[in-house]
Amino acid sequence: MITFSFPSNGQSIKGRIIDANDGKPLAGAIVRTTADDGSTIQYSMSDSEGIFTIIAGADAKALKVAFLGYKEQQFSFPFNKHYEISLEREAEKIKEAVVQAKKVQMAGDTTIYNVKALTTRDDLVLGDVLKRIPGIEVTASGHLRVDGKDLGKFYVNGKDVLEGNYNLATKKLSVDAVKKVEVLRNHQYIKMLQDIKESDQAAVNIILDEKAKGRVNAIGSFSGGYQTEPPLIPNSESLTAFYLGDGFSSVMDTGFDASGKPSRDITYYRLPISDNRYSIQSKLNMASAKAPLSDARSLFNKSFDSRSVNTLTPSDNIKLGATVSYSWDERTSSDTRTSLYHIENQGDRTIVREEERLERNSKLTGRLSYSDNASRHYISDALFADMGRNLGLADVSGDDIRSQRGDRNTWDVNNNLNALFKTKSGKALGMRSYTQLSGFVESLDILTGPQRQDIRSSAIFEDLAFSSIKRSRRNITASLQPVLKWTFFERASSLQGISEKEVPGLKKEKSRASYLSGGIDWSLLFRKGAFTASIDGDLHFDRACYGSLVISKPLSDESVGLKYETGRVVASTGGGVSTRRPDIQDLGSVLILYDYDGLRRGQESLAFLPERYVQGELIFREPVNGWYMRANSRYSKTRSLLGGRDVLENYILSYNTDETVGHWTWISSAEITKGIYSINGKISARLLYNRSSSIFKQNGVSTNYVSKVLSPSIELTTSPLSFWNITGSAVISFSRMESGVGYTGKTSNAVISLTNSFYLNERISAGVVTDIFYNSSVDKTAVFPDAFITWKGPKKLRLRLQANNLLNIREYSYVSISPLMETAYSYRIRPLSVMLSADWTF
Amino acid sequence: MNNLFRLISLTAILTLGFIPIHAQNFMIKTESDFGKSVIFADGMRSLDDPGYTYTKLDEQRLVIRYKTFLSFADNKDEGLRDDMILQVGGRISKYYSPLLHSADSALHTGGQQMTLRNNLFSKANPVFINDCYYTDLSSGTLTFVCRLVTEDYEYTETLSPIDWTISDDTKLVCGHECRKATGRFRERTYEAWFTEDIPSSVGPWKLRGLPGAILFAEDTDGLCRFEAISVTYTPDIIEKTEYPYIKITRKEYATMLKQYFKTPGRFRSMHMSMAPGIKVIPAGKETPLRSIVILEKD
Repeated sequence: MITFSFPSNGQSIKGRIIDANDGKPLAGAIVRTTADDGSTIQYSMSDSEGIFTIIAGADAKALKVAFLGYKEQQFSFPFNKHYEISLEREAEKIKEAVVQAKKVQMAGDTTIYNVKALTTRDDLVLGDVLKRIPGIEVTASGHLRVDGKDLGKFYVNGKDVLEGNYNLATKKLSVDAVKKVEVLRNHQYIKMLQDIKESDQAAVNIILDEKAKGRVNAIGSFSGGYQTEPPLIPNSESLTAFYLGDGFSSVMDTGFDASGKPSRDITYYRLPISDNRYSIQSKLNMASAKAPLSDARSLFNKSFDSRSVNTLTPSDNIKLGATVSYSWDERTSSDTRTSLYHIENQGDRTIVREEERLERNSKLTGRLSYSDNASRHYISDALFADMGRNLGLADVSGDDIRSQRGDRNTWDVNNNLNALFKTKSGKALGMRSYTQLSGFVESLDILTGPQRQDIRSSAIFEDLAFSSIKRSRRNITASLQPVLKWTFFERASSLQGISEKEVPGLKKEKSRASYLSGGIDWSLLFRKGAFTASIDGDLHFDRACYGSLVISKPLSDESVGLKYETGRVVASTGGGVSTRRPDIQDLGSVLILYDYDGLRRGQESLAFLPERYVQGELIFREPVNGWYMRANSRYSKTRSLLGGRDVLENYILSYNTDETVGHWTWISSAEITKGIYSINGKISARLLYNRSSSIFKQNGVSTNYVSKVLSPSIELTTSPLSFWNITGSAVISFSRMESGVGYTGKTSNAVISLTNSFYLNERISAGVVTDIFYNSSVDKTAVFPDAFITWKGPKKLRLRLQANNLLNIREYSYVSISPLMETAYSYRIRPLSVMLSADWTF
Repeated sequence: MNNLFRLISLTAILTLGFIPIHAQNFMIKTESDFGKSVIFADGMRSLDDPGYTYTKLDEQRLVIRYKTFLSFADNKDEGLRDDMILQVGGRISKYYSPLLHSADSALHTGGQQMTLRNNLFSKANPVFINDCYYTDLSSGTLTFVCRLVTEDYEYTETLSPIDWTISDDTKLVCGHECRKATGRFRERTYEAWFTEDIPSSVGPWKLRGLPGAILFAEDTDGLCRFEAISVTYTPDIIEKTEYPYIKITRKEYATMLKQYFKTPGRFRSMHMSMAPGIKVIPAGKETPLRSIVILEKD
């Protein structure tokens, strides 16, 4: 126990302390005497003249003089009676020593993550940190999912400047530019609806570091190497630059890739109506030619894309945006397919086919948007247009020798207008109008035969709705929405090379359908404290027209939901009944050349099919300690109509599948994740269970069919020792199918991916990436090891030397089971290659 | 006819011209542990007015952020929590709440800073707007400024040195090794943990005088607690905003605070004489606000 009082016997020491720089006296400097072990015995402070007095006791061995910002000085025993001390300024501690800043904080519906405290030495971009946050999932395209649902809004410093392109920030914004990330749950982005209508969407707001504001933050990457087979020189270049200023933001992203890693997938803008079922990919089966391993191992491509996203925010409410993008992509792939068909009353049939494919896509898109999000009104409009071309070429050999080419030009224009006003009584009134015009022109040519088809298709879609939402004093929100939807669709085709004799009904060349739906959507929501109860429904009168077929039908759908929600727990349950309308794009008596196998005719009957469902979900989160748990389950029952399929004898099959009379599915999943903030690690375990049972009507005969899939998976990233980092995931799935004809199929897969990195010193790390794939129907387990070494250079330059596919595995197999057939696929894999890549952040 | 037209257009132009220079009134509604209250505050005077002036007091060498707790007078287990900032310079230290400070600067510059949370004020204590403690490190002179309703007050006092007793107990706070000291200040006993790594006699609120910065302090009755959550060495400026302060004494401030808690409506109507757009809330039956404990008992 020591005190500040002077000991009765001791040496009195006086002194004066000044600043060495300017000679001015230093007031408030700390003077203390210390014992042998350095602990303080006495202390005193200098006054406004810089003068101090201290009594040194018998055990005082040193006299220390210190002041914040100055270098400490020390004097050892024996002591003078008087000291004139001149303290020198210490070099400014520029390094921001943020000690023990809170990594995670919770404030109501918002969780705040301190990115600076959560970053590890391997992190380069924002997505690297986000994927370690429990409850957040980063998809391959860089989009985010929170609590299993797609993210609603993504803000930068409170402004929605990136809109749907926020994945550019996840994938390319340097982690140094971000200070904090806020996750806002139940975020209602329309200000005037904030105390009227709930939202269960999540939003993310990133808060930029001061250094990143008002300047360009960019990442440039280059990589090149050598591969033992063509293309001999795989390479990739990209440049992404962000300017995120106060009133103006602009992001530019450009890249070229010929190394299996295009910077983004060529995804098409999602529209309410689409003709993807007739796309070249589905016809030539390109969509299914995908190995379950990461794309990069089997993708042979040349891709270019560029995008410019610009936003003006002249005030807090108003936003103007203009986005333009152009992309071009060319891919080649090949696989061998061995298909085993189970045909009722005809036994099994095996067909072997080797396909070589080339696919070329190009797309130009543009979007203009305006929004005014104020406290009493909300107005927004977005105009979008795109045009594109896809070209596909495929060659088949094996049991069949054919060659085909499909060429398609598409165009779309759509406009989305929303306007909402708040009346004096607090009611929200609004309207929305979504209009879309789309079309395509396509030609499909079987090069080894006389068959050829030219198709022209166009569609118009309009969705007009008015809404009125009011929240009463007793916390009941009522909303009423008259809606009018209209679709008109037309398809014309000319088919050559197949005679009327071969295929009855061939002459039909035009198909037209229209759909009109008018009615009211209503909902009632009651909220008390943490409980919310809601009832939703709609009452519509629908009219579908197809040729001479007309159906007019009144429809009524209802659903009920209950939710209990606090900051840490969300429990919800619900159920409903709805009617699935006929998809008029599926209608069509026009025969379409469908792959090499045959011709496909669309549905010729209009069907309104019922669906019933029941679901429940439970979420528990404790973000400060890193716990996150979620379990959900959904049971639904419905029916569906498969398109009638006419097949020529010349081709291959001869069966018709008419209808799925009953279809029951049960999907459940459970997840538990723990973030280990002390080492910036995360461990996550998931279990998925799907069970679906159906009754097919095949050739007039009903068949039962049940399929079950159980899939546990685990994902982790951790540093067991300070110089060793492991990131890995393992997904195992067990599937089983049983059909009423006595056929049973079982298959199991495991996909394991493990990356071990070792830090040799501050700058250099080396490691091994191992991908293992196991499939129960295939003899050999495929193992793909890669080795790498990285070097962190000066000024944010990173270099990486990587050797891929060290065992030079060239082919890989996988079996997939479906109710009526089993197919074994063998894919071509990218060979052994060595790549040198450089990333530079500036 | 021509004259009438001229008169109308002149009136229209003059009216439109006045709009940018018209003072805007901000009405702040808050809802917090205090209950609901309405405060009128003076807003921006004109688009050209740069706001108030700032006096630079010292160069900041380091900044310590504290998580603080101050209990209610009626139940010491409940109270207000806030993050406070202590800016440490060579001669001066400044202790204040960044939330209130930024909310207030939003008011005074007239801009509406975008916030996705409901309202900055809803999280902050509506009474302690702009509470700032400026301490001269060597002499112990403290200047306290605050805003009550619409007026700015200031008092200056000398802090007598606290007779600290230092013990051998140590603990780690915010990554720094700290030693325990006990001392009495204005009729209450405080326990403080200070670190010699930071050779400056600063501390949160009015606690000071140890041979190192105080990173943790609490009073022995559990009425208040200050805990450092981050220590950052960043060069910056410590400044004081020059509002038109009304000079009072510490005792007068304590009296005003008690009055405010007891009869907030009457207090407001008495003190809003200078604010435009007054709306007086009749003091019929007044619900007193939940008062915060006043630490200094003398």
